[in-house]
Amino acid sequence: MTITLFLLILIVAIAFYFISIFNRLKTIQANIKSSIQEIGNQLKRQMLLLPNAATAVKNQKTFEKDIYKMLTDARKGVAEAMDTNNTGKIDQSQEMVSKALGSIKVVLESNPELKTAEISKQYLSELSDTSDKLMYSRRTLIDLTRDYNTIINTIPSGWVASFMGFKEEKGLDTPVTGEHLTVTEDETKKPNLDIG
Amino acid sequence: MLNVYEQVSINKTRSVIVIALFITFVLGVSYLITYTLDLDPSIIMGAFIFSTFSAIGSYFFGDKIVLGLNGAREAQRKEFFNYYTVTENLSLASQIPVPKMYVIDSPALNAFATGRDPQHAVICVTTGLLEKLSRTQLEGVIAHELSHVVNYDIRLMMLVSILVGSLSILSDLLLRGHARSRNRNRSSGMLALVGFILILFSPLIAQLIQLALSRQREFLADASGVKLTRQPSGLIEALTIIATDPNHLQNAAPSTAPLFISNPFKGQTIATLFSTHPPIEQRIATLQKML
Repeated sequence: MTITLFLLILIVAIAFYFISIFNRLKTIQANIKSSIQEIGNQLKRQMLLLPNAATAVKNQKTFEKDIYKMLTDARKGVAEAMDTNNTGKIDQSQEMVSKALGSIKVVLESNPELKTAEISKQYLSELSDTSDKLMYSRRTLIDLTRDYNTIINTIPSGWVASFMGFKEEKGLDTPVTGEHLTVTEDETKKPNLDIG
Repeated sequence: MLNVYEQVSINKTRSVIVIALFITFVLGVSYLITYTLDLDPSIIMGAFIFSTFSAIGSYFFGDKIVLGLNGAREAQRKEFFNYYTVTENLSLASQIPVPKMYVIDSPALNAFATGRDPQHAVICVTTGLLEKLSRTQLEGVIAHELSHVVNYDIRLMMLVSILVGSLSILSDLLLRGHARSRNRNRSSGMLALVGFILILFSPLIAQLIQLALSRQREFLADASGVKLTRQPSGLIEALTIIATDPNHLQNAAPSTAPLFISNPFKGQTIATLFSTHPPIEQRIATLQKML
């Protein structure tokens, strides 16, 4: 009597262990799936942001080029006039300067591109945030896969997993050999950045 | 070192102990007063109802109390882009829902997290911190706060700061009120007695806070924060900037001090009572070993 009771309890305990391992692995599998989808989601966002960011930066560049051209023209005029010491020319160049300044003002006031710098800055920070999000969702995938594979490959949970046909998850597919695992002689040297 | 599941279960157990001790303490004090002054025993019943309700209240609305005490307002994505997105990213990495985000308008550099569990968590930083720190440094600070969220430090620290902290402040108020009042009638005398008893117990209360919130907690949060960002330098730089900043968080509520990432009352007398923070230099040194 006591032996049958003992066996019954043992069987129930083992059944509970099987169920708990099964549910845990299934939960992690679902999380792995969602983390992969999250990576896709962020990649999509990146694709949508990129052309907008490119346009914004391009706009800003042409806008800045125009203003710089006006300013350098005016400055050149002033320098020439100073050299010649001709009062007429000085007046003329003065006029050029005020004209340039005036048109810059007009550009700044009337042109919606006045905010180009801010807009492209915003797009660039959105982009860098998206790449952060990509990195962190890959991190999630890596962490989840590690937890999953640990359960599968350690005993006794591994026995249960193989009995129920769970296979190892790949996670972030990274080549196990190659250049990213070796350090060359050149890479050990102190970096010398030439910013020109 | 403890793993995160052990930390969670320790914090949950300690939260229950804090509530039980609080109710017992209030009951004990009210019994003492009723007994010595020969008052109506219904006071004890009142004290029991009062302490139970304040325990339940601080469990469910503690985050709002803490935020209100410190004058925080909700943060918008547009206004605080870095803060908002960094918190989103790090909660993604730590696999918790994105907590509610708040800011305190102050030039001081500080941050805290509170709430009863990761599903009801709040993160709060000062605007000064958002202005002075770069994105990477901010990531270090937010990762530290999210670690407090993940391992249920927030629940314990919230209960301790509201329940236990309020007792010591109450005693201070009662005693000072008695010393100031000219006509010392019976009721003010009784309040002073309550204050006096609380003062007698205040070393015990302080000891309790110390026990509940061991200094290890901040080191643990630093370490698990770094495990999230994989970048100790961000938090090291942030802590260095925080340590050298002269601004104090003027309107911080004293009892909520243990919640903050760095003691908001550094160098002030009240700091000794709530000295649950290890010196920042020590934390930086520990982090530097991880580099």
